[in-house]
Amino acid sequence: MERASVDEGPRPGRVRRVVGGIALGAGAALAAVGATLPVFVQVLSFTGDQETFTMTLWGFESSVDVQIDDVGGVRYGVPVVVAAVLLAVSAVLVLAAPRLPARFAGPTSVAAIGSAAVLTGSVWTVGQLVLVASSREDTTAVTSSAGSGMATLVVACVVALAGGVLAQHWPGQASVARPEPTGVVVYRLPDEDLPEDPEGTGGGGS
Amino acid sequence: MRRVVGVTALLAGAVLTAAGSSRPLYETTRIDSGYRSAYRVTLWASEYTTPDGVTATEDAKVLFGVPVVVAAALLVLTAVLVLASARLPARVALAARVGSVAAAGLLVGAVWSVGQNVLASTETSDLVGGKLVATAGSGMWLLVVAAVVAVAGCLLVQRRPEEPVYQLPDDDDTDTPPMGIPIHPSVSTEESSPG
Repeated sequence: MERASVDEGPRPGRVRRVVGGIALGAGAALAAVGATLPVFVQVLSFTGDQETFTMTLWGFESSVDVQIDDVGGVRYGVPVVVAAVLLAVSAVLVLAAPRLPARFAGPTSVAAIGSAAVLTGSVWTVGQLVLVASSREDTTAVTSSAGSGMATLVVACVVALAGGVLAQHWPGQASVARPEPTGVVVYRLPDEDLPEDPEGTGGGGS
Repeated sequence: MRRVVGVTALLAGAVLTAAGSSRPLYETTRIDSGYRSAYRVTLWASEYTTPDGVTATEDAKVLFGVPVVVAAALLVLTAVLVLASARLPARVALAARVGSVAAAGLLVGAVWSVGQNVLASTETSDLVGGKLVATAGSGMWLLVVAAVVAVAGCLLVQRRPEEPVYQLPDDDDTDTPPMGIPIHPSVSTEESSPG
């Protein structure tokens, strides 16, 4: 009986793992960027002057000096940033998998897809809010639209989910190295060392 | 056994989510000059109770419940697939286990974001001649418990890593040479030469 070490598999699985790790890292970066951009923009032009209200994941901002207390306290960015950090950690673990002990493989796979899903759940919830806010009928005085942050976060979710799926050890690709052959070693001699015996009867010497 | 407990936890998470989605996330009670009015918010609607005890319900404009319910549906689907994984192809069985993590993660993300909203909405403030008390409702707590149970379930249905073990054939077979028959050239040369 012999135990063999776990290998990372053939080349297609290795490429998929690297692409998955890069996608997870890209998802984390996009989520971090999206968390700082406006997810909703509303432009008011009642008096000729334009006033812009923007909603980020950290509250409301206004181009004019007004205090917005009632809705400014919701910090939707907290779960998004935590998910981005988890994605970054997952990306490092996925890319460093060949140099890590085999026991890290399972937690890495769970962390990869789990952190992408947490990000998706958070962004989807914010998206429900932005969907309602930006679908108000525009008038000549009020224009509402989703901000660049929302689009960035949606792309981050798609990229992160793709990375999470690619980072899994799907069956069909060999994940275990072939064992080194052991036992009795048998050498086959070169043909020129064999006696000339074309009929195979051993009577060639007469 | 571990898998069955995990599947049960996934299903329990889905049930708790469904139960929590219709319960109040937070409740604001206004006590003003001896009168009490209340405002409750669920994932789907808001409810207002006047000091006279009359209750009016209004559908919520922002449907925070959509991602939560989708996560609960995915929890049920993956729980069923994990339960039947022994009769499914290996790729489908793995997809079910990965899907259970995705469903639990989706629920955690959605509940966390809703929780941020509730956190910002629950504060107590003094009014002139009264008081405004806002507290998290049973729906929020049910959703938090659902998320924890679902995460536990998705971890329990994962396969434990096993070290691959190779069993070599019996030693009886190791004497068979590659040609299938024993060939000893030096010996056969001497024997086949005519004497």
